[in-house]
Amino acid sequence: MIVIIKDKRALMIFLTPPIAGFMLFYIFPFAGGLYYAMINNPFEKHFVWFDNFVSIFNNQAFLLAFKNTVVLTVVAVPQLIMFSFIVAVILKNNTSKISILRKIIIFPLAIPTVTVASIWLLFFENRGYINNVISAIMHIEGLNWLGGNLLYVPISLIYIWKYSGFNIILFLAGLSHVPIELHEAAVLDGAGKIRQIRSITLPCIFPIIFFVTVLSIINSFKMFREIYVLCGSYPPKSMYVLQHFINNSFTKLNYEQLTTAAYIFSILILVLVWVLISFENRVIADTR
Amino acid sequence: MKIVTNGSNKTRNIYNFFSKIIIVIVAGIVLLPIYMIFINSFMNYDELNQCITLSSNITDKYMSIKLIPSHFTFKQYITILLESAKFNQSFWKSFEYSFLITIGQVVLGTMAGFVFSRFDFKGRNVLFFIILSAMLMPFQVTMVPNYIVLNKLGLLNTDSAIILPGVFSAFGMFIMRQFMQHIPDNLVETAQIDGANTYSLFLKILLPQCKSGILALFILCFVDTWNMIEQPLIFLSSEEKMPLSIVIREALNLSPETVFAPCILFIMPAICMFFTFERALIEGVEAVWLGVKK
Repeated sequence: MIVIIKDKRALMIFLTPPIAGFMLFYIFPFAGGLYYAMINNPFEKHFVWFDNFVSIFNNQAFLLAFKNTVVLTVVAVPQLIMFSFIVAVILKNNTSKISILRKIIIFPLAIPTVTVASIWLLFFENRGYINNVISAIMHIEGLNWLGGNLLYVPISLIYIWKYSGFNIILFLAGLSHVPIELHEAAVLDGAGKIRQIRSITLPCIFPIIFFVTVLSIINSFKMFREIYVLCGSYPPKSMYVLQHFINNSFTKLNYEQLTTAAYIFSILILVLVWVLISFENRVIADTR
Repeated sequence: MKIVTNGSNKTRNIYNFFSKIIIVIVAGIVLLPIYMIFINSFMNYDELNQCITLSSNITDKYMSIKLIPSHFTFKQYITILLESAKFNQSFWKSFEYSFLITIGQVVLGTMAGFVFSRFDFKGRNVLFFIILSAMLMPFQVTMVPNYIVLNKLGLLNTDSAIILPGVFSAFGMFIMRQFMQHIPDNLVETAQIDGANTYSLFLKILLPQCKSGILALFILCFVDTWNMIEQPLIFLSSEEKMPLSIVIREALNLSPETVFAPCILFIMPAICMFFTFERALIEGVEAVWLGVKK
């Protein structure tokens, strides 16, 4: 049980600076921005209540962006987490050999997007390295990686390349502290490998999984940079996400559309956070 | 550490063999693009031109990977270090932004983390819910409120336009709250019995326990702000305020033959940081985790 300090004055002194700034830069203007979402445009300033919210759901570009964002998050995040977890489980017993690997595996986090994107272009171009290998081995014309529906493949590969390293390290840290006695007991009870992972490992490292999930979601939104550098403001339909929509509204000076889309995006995230927190609480309640 | 396996020696050997192969493959995939940036930084103009000709000019030939330059040259490095004032200027701008934002986040984050983990007050959970949500918002969403305030305060196109929203962002508060929540309580109890007031409790008992958490936050925050792109593009307009990340982006379009050397110099601070503090980063994460187990 955590000790609760009852010192009202100290509470105010410690809480005020961070929260005041946070409120000033994020929360108050966020509430104030609702005004811009409810006027017809910033010049005439007719108050139209929720018309913008209704009309945006008839906007084909917005619907596409909305769908793609949800799909990208729902598919790419679990993919990344599962990949990192599996590699971590495989590497777990080789701790002595992976100390150098642990150091290099987080390098991609430090590499600026723009530079490495120019290298990725060399790989995925129509005449790039990967198509070179494909045509040499299978004797067919290379695939159009960046043009159409296949774009998801390079994007998710870059996502995994960039962020799996840190996730693997987090998982390894967690795995190294799973009590060995639990596994011994499970082996005596005749539990197989998969069963051990499900009933012992996963519950034990749950806090790490929670942290990894939060980070991975943040990072999946940051993948917009890579998509943007690879494909510009108007990528193929399959990768047109909400950030493109908001950015393009900004350049078109369509502020009421911009703020409306931003509010809908934030509602999406509020729901997501609520799901995450209630899931965390349920698991904590279960393990007690 | 004793490994629990119900298999024989032979299966263990096969398992070891495969995990070694996986290590090599993972390391190779991670390093290949970085190696290519590195090697490109030693190429001269003609060779680079050959290497990075993209398929915009239609040819039937495929590009093939070039792993070693035929003529080593330091020309790119000499050009940017000696002849380009812009590089120097933007490098220090980047440093200024990242350093100030990171310091600010560490200070405010520890304060907020202390409050969220050790105090109970009305609305604490709601506030934390808001902080977590704000942290998950992509830049395109927080850009709107940030822009409104910066505009009202007349801070657009000043250094503060980059620094202040970064300092007050939710990330530091979240990390430090998670970390402090799991610091063992017996230390706090003992200090309270000894009659320590809240401030010395914070400064003398909790802060020293937070060392690895603070370092973890420091690294993550520094690397993130070091690589920022969107904020300067929206909040700044004058050339001389742009950080290195933006300058490199522009150089990539204008003169790709000199961009790889700045890239290598650009990633150095972040990579050095990872190399030096990797242990602390992991300890920070482990501490959070171990705390939960108690």
